[in-house]
Amino acid sequence: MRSKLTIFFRLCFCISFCLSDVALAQTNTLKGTAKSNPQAALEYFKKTWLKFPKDFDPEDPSAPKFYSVDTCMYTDENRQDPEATYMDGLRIIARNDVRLSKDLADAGYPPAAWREPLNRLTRKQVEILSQRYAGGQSLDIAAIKSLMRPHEDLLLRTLNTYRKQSAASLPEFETSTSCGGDWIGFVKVITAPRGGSVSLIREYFFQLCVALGKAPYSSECDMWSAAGTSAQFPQGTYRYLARWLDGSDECSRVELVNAGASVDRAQVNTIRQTGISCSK
Amino acid sequence: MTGLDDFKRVLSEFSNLSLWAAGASVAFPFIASFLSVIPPWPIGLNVITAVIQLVTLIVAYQTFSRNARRITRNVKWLAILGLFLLLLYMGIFTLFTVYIPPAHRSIVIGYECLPDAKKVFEAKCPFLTIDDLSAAAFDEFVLWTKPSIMAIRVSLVALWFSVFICLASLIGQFLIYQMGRTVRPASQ
Repeated sequence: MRSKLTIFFRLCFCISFCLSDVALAQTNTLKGTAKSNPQAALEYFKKTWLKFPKDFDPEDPSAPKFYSVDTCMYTDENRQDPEATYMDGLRIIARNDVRLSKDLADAGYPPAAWREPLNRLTRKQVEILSQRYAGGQSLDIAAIKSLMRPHEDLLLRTLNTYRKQSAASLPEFETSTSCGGDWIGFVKVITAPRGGSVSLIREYFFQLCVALGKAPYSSECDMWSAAGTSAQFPQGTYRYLARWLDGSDECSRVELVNAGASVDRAQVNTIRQTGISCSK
Repeated sequence: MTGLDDFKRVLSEFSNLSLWAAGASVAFPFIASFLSVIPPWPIGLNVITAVIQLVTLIVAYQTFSRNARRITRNVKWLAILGLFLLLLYMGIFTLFTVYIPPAHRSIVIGYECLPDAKKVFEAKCPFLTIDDLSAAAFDEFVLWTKPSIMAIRVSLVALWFSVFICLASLIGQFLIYQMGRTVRPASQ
């Protein structure tokens, strides 16, 4: 009896050892693939996420659905290993792609309207992540988000164009201009009269540009964001630069406030034409 | 009657006393009285504190000594230590948190500004105001270094727990001792 048990335990040990060896080999192969062909690694991660569709169900189905295009890569910030952060980043990009595909389908957008633009967004993020990793640059969530903002806007514009032209009743997708943070609330910006285009910068970044000797209203100061109707900003003090339909420019400081009860729901703030031209 | 029954009696007395201290409105022993100065981080600290108080009470019960002189000395020193820790906590809380009225909560700030923040705020660092935080969209990690925010957060939580450990230990020892005493009726 004892010898049978010994054989059984030895067998278990051998099997587990072999399995761990296979898992290790698979992990190493995956890491190798992720470095040589990140898009292939992404496809592998997407297939993995697709096996667990329940993971993407809302925690509270009765709560109003918030549709967003979000490229934030929430990884473990305390990790010191760039390789682990890179692999986590690929996993999260795959997850964001699968989640957004599901949200778009659930919202009623036909795949023909979003599949290719979403593929472009995902490919771009993988490209940015892998290039920064290969170049030894920081994989910081905020840095990658700021590089992804124009691509998020592009997808949003495509969705909005489809919604306006084909199905106005479809829910609108939104995006936030930054990731995480201990936010107080979010805001959106519209203009009065309508049709003005507004760029925003946090007052702190504006003052930083001044302190660094950069012209704060120029492209030299690169923390300005376009405040389209879908863009959300965390509540706070900002500088804005508005261009009105009559061709005039205005700029000033503004408090963007979310006085609503919900931190998650953005409150609309209006920037009005004052007739006072911008003295940069 | 088992030892556990006796402990449950102590627990019941402890809860009664704490409910009295909190205005009989909540179930978390004594914590409600301090909610206005609870550390802003992490969320759910009141429940964690209640558990820590319970553990402290268990330790006090298990290590209880019947020596009246020792109990008196313990209660006295715990009261002094508790008061000192509370004052220290209040000092750090005042210096390193900023109350945000629209959100009805405070944000823990750090003790060391990031190099960029030093360029903007210069000598004002690290004690920036609510307006300065608003300029950064209330993102404290843009203004202060992460280790300094982490150190203040952990200090606040450690002091908070220490105060409540003192408090639970002091009251626990007092209750256990007084419940075991037979008080003779006052002579006519």
